[in-house]
Amino acid sequence: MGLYLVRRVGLAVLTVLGVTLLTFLISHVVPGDPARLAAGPDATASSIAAIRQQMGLNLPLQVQYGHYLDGLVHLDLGHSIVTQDSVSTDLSNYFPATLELVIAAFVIYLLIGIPLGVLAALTRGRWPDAAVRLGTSVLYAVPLFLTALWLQYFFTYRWRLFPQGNELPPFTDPPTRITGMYVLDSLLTGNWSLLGTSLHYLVLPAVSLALGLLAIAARFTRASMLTELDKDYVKMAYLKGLSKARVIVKHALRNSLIPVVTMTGVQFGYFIGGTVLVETVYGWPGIGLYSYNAITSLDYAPILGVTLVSSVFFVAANLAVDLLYPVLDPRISLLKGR
Amino acid sequence: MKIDTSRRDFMKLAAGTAAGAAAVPLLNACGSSGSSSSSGAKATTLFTADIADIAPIDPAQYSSTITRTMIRNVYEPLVYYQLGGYSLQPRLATSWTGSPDGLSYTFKLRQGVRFHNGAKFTAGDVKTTFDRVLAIGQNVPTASLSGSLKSTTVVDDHTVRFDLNFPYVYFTQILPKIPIISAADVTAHQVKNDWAHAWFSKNANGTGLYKFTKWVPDQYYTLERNTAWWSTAPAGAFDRVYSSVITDGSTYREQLDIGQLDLASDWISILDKVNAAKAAPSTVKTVPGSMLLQLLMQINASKPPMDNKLLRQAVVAAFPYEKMLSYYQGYSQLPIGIFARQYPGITQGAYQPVAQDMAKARSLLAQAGHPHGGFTLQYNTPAGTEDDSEVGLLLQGALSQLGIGLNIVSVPVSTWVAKGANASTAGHFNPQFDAPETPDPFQWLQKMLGKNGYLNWSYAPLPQIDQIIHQGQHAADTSSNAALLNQAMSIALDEAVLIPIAHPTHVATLNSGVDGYVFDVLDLQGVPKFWPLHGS
Repeated sequence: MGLYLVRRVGLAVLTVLGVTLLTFLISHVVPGDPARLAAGPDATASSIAAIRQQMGLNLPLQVQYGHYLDGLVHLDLGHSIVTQDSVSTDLSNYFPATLELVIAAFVIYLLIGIPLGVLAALTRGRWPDAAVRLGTSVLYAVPLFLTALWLQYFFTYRWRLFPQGNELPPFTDPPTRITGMYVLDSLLTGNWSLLGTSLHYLVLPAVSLALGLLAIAARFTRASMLTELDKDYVKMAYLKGLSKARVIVKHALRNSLIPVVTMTGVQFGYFIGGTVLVETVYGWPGIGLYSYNAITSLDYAPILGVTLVSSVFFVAANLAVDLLYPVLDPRISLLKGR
Repeated sequence: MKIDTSRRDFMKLAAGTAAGAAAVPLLNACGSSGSSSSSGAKATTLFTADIADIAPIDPAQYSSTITRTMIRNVYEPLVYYQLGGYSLQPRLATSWTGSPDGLSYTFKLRQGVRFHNGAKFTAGDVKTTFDRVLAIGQNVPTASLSGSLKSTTVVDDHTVRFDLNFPYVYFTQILPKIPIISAADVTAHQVKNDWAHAWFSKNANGTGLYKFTKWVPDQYYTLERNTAWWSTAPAGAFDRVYSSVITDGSTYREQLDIGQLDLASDWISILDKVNAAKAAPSTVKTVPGSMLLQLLMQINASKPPMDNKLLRQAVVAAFPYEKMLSYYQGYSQLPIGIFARQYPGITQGAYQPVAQDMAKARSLLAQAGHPHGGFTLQYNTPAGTEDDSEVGLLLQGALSQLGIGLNIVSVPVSTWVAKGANASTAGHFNPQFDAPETPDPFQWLQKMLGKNGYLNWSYAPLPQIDQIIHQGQHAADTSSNAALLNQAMSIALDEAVLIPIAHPTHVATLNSGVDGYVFDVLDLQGVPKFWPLHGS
């Protein structure tokens, strides 16, 4: 187990390093002069030159990358030319909002997506199955930003049931900071009115983020459940006189979850990626919006910082999935390093 | 902080949470509102929004009109343009005189003015402000000075003198672009000779009607009325301003339609603003007005085949200007040249509005040696700008009739700027929404057509224009400037490197309960002044 963990963590570190190298190269070969953008229109040539030197942009690319890695070792992710703060500070400000959004979306994804898949499998060929398949096909086909805009159009603009965006209403002080996640902090500090308000603001962005991927979860669970339901051990369980609920939940669902969990790990990474669109539409102040602003102003350090954090999350989610396998299926032995 | 929650407690909390969410009022933050202040009086709030955050907010470094909106309402300059006009009015200065040789200006300063933190305003603040602008050397404040300022001297606590490098007749006219800061802030927050840049990037302490009270980057900032302001606010002036960030255009439009905004940003399209007022006439109103801003198109004269002047002239003749006029649905005029027709000094009636002439275009094309076209050009446009995209499509249609292909390349703004800043990567055509920001027209000519001009993406060597800029900015008075200006207009039209496409109308969009809006013609786009605004 220990060796397996070391190998997996080592591979994860290499993957993240590869991502930083690729992102660094891509962001630096895009035509543009961040020093000029930082200095702004009408800046004097000497100001631009000073900023270029200050940002280290006059150094060879490999030296710049070396400096970046050296900074990473010292937990220094660089400095944003837009916010004028260190990227670490920015991420600590922006990341909790994204994490809160992703967790909320993930909860919706799990609580609705998997039961829908089970329902469809159990009603195979009948109208609930058809409805789930049709609904999930539509949800999967519609781009994320469009889903977000539609939800916003109906629930805010037409029916006025939810606010348009942001985390809290104007002039509302956030809860005492513990985690930086407003819902959780309101809960932990017992601020019930703020808890309701922050949940109210969270619903639309979280649902927007969850819907597309929820469709995949439902379809994947359905397919996996159908495979398991046709197997002999399920028939044997029925013959032994076990209740239908016990056979479905204890036997079929548990086994069908193995591929679903694998896919869920990957999906978690997509959630982080999807936040760029959802946060832009809803003005949700997370790293998605932060990275959007960084990209449009060619602010290298935040672009690299956000990519790094996202890839760490992606890799960590996959690692967690690998470690979950033996819990779901004891036959899978990590000791053999498989 | 110790959090001790048992599983049972947690379940109770979760149930409470769900109930709380359901009990939240459906819409608790809509539109301009009053809320009870601690004194019991109702505080009035102006709700507005922009499409991007205000950072960076250092008043010596700002460039975006979004940032300028905050800066303008928190800080004050020495003098300011008369609302909606060009003439100067006292602000932090009460009077001023120029020396006969035009090389120095002396300003008497207003007494009894205090910064928001209570510090007294004196001549030392003015000197520090201008010394700092020169030292930092960036963006609008620096560009506005045009290299004219040599030094600033404190004569006494309430008198300051500016010495110039050359007799710059527009010197007083550019001062509205330079907000005055407190010298004490620089002294108190300076780190390693940074002129307190780090502090000014996060804080604002001015003398204006509104105090900068809170800023959550990428979300909102708030202003509160300065009750100790030296001047008198209009009756019904707002107590607070809440300006949020709405990045997405369609979300912005929805907010406008349902009356959640009292004042719309000028960064959303004119048509969206007009249509919002049509959709909700009882809550949204528009205030049309003329502006100097024009939609222009640069032709990169360094890039073959557009280095051929006849070819450039053929494109000018081929563009369907009338269709662009239709696009604006009555909120535009046909332009007469690179300067708007109402810009001071433009001889009225001397120029004809631009018009499409395909026969002339074909003739010029033949003279240029390309009677049937047979080549493809490139139009680079910043993504998300509807007007610019429309210009590309109309140009594409017109050129196709001449046998010329046009690739429209839409890229993020930062990439578009980066490409344009290099002659080899700039497209054959680039749209620009631009106009002079001060009564000095030569500043703008330098930027757009002068040698090494920041936005001179035509890359055409125009020594006559350079000569005009030098003459205009070094003249002892403004008597010859109208002639120079008209000469520059003619050269630009003949060289066909900067093409006027449309002259849109300015449209301000407000909640019907808000009055007092005045558009500042010397702003590229609306930079709303909150201090004249008030409830109906």
